[in-house]
Amino acid sequence: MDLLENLKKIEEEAELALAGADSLEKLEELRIVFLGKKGKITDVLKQMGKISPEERPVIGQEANKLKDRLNKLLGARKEELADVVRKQRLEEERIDITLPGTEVSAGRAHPLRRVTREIEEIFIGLGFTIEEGPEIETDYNNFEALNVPKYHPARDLQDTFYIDDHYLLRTHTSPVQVRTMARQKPPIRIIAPGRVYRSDEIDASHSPVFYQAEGLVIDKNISFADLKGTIQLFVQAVFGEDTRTRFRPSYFPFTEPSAEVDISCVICRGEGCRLCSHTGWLEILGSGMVHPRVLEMAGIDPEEYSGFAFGMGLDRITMLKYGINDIRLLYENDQRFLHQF
Amino acid sequence: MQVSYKWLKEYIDFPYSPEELGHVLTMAGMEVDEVEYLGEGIDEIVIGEILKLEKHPDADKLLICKVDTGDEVLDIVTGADNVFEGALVPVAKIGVTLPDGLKIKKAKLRGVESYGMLCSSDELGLSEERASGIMILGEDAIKGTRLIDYLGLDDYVYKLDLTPNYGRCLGMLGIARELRAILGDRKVNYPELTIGETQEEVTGLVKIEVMDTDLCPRYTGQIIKNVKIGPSPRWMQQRLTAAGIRPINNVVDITNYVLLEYNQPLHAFDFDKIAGKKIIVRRAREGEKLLTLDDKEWELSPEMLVIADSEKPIGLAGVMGGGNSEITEETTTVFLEAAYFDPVSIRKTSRGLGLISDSSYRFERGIDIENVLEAGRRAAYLMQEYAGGEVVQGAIDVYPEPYEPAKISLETGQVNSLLGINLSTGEIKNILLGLDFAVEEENEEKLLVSVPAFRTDVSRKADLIEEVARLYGYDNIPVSRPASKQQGKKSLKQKIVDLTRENMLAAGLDEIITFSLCGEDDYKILNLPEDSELLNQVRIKNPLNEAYAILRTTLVPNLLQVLSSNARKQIDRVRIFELGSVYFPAEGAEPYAEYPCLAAASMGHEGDPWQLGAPDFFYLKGVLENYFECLGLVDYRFERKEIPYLHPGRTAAVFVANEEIGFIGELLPDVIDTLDLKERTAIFQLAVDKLLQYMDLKRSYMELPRYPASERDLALLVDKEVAAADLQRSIRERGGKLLKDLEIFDLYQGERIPGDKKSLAFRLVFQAGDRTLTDEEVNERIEAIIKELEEKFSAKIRGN
Repeated sequence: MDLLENLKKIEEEAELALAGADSLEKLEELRIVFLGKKGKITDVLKQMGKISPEERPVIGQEANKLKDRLNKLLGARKEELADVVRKQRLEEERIDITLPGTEVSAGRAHPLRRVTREIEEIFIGLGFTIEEGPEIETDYNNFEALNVPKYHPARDLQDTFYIDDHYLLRTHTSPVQVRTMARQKPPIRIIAPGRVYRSDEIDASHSPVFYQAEGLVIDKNISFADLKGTIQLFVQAVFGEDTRTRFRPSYFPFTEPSAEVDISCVICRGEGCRLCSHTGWLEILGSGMVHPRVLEMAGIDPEEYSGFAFGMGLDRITMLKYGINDIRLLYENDQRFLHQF
Repeated sequence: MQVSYKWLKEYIDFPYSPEELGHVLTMAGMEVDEVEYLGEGIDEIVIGEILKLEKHPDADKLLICKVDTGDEVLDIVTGADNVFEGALVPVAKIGVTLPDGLKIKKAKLRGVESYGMLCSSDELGLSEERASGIMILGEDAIKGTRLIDYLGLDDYVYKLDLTPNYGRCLGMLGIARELRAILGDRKVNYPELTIGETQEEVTGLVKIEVMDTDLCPRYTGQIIKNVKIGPSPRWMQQRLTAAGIRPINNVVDITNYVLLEYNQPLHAFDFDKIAGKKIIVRRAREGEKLLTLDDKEWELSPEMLVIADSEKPIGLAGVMGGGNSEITEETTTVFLEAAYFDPVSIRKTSRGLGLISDSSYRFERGIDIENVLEAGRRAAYLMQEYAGGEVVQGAIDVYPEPYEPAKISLETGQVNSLLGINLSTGEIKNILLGLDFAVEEENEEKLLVSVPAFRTDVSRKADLIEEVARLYGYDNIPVSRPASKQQGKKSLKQKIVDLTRENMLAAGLDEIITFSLCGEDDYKILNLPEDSELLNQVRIKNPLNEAYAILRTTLVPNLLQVLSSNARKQIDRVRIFELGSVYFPAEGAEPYAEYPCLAAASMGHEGDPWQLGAPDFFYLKGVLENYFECLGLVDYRFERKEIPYLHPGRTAAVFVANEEIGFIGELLPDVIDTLDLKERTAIFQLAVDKLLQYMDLKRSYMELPRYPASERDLALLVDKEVAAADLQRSIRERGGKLLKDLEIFDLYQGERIPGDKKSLAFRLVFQAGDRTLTDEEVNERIEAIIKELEEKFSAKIRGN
């Protein structure tokens, strides 16, 4: 039974060799040595002629068993080695994950526009549509139709750029109210953001060109309480749920009653600080019930309809929201400024 | 209007602390801009009497004063030479800090101990200019008391920012009445005006004729004789100063004092200077001249109202008196005017001349026509008391049409529904009564309200509802929201603007916002021909200055300025866009037109796809192409164009559907140098509204291809002048339906090919929807394409 003995030896030898193989190349060599056409098992089978016919099937069977077994061992070892290689590769490919990421080159929206957009979205959610109007306006739409006749002291409140005797650069977005009422019957529910002009010298808090947004609601049974509720909701959406509002009697020729709206200071939350001149309050918008004269001039019967209007400085709201202390920054467009938003 | 806390307290006994008063006024509609404590920083200064003066033993210029400060006598050394024995002076004792921060310590001056400091007015912050010596107080000062008590500076002053409808609160009594309405339980103390008149009657001394009663509905005159001009009493001067009015002399100060009390402007004329002893209120004659109290001469016109004597104008009615009838030290007889002038007339005169006075400011806002004479009588009383005057009996009162109060009917239901509250008719009545309205109850649901003359701001129901709201308290009105009956949304145009903005941001451009006002100089850099439509600008009639005198006709100068200011701050990679309007004079119904524009600029871009040294141009072109694709614009093209400030070889007009809607180009090197920009800076501008008509935002799904595509590359050698777009168009035409995609992926110009040639490499993708294309089919197309390109462009195929 030499051949069986041989097979046994081959098995032991192969097991040892496979266990020691440390690369896929080595493994392939071993496969050829043991299982190849000229391999050791083939060698044994080639000697079959030398043994008795009774023994041949036994040897044959044993040899095939050994082949299977070695193939399995080989396969298993191969897996093991592949695993090592894979792990090694992953190890080698380790990177410094603290290095900065590739620059993504999206542009930045202007802070004033972000705030405008945010305000538009809030009012769209409340059922408002967005209206626009020209910046070169008639004196009529900008003043007269808003109950500010010529030679009325209220014209002092706004220093106006005139183009000619009838046209001017609108001093507020309120003429959009007039245009909307001329075009549309109640119910009306609009917000009108846009560019406005006043002949103010430029300094940290004044600019001859700036932005406002106007709101107008006209329907049956609109009340001052509705105005308060709408403004309060808006203020909390922009400045946070914990922001308080205060309505203060004021005067605008086109609303009556009129109210100036203050919010609790965004910095000190009402404690008093430099921003709010130690009052705890910041003035952010003007509002009121639409003056019956304004409704009459627009052909709307004030006995049937009522409404409220409000106007706010978008620059001021942007500055408060982001803590910007100089309005000029909004129009200088310094990249280092723009990239902060 | 500046209001003194102490003075206001004389008219009504309110229970508020100085802090509370500020809040109450603000919440009542009289916004307090600023509160100032007048004694700030000097409340520890006491009054001392100099008992004795001695020369300093070792210094000629120093004096040793023995100063009695009531509780002690101090040795104080001073260098001032205006002190004398018996003088009453402000003393800063040891430990006191002066307004400029100086802390007084015990000091040794040339060997003599000094226990404090005698102060000059500027050291106390009481005068701007440097005073020449120690402040010497009047003999009525009491040693040992606080200086601020003597000077009336233990007081707060409220600077009110009054809106035009609060004209009635431009006087102390008006503010007192507001407080009474708020408090409800106390009365206003009206000033004293008991006059001991002479036997002589005023009608015998002067005649008054009002020629324009529409511009002067009421004119009253009184005469005060034997006045002695001198300083007004100290308390009056202090109150005027607190209110921001400079004391002049007793007569003038009294008119100003009553102005502040009653909100009634008054004017005192020197009666002896009135020619003909006649006052005529009339329109000025064309070209008539008047020198006013401020020493300015004005040429008048007939729309201005003057006060004249029988010869000449002696005052600009309601605005300012004339120099020719001014009160001087020699004045002995005063003609005192108290009148009501038409607000619009006063405003026209005052605006027309650019002359605004405390009087014109009040007349413009409307004063109390019913109270004109009472205010005049008050001033006469004060002149009797404080200028030694004798008031001539009676007053002339030209008041042809006495005030008829407007009557307004007010329904309780309307008040409640407009405010969203629930008051009873009685509650509303009480609020209005508190404000001095006369109120009748028409029925349980309706009031009839009469408006007093001082409420010039009230003429209709809404005005009364405002009063109710104000007194009820805005804070007490509940909060609700109107029911929404429509869907909130943006218009298509607004959505496209948003889409445009998002597209530009995604493409890497930062959004900028610039002024639409600019100056002619800003357009010089563009080097435009004189007849350029961009120079046909809308001008401001009254600009702030030349730099903001016109409205922009293009966004280009604005973008260039932003690039330049960034470049000058060492920021050298800038990509920006602006969505904004441009403005032009127009013909037609509207004389001016505004168009929305989109403009972008790129400076210092990296990556030069065609190796042509035009990274910014091709970046911006890519931005545009991507934007057009997003809008569903297919039919667009770029054509060479010349624009004065752009590079002639690197500028294109942008066409959409055969309409020119904008341009793109690289800036001329000179422009780049002038503005310190990076070389190759490029810019584009589009008329956004024109895009709107051509875009197509509809999208529908097309089935994905199920059969494989065949890709072929084609490198063509053509003359340099051949446009890539023309080659593309020919390839597309010949490629037909099966040519699914065509892309240029390489451009070569250089040594390996002739100098007048370029090589362009195209990648063609063929694909059919119903089968796998055979090589033969594809080859057939390619051959047809090659043939066409050879014939049309003399193109040679390289290494196919």
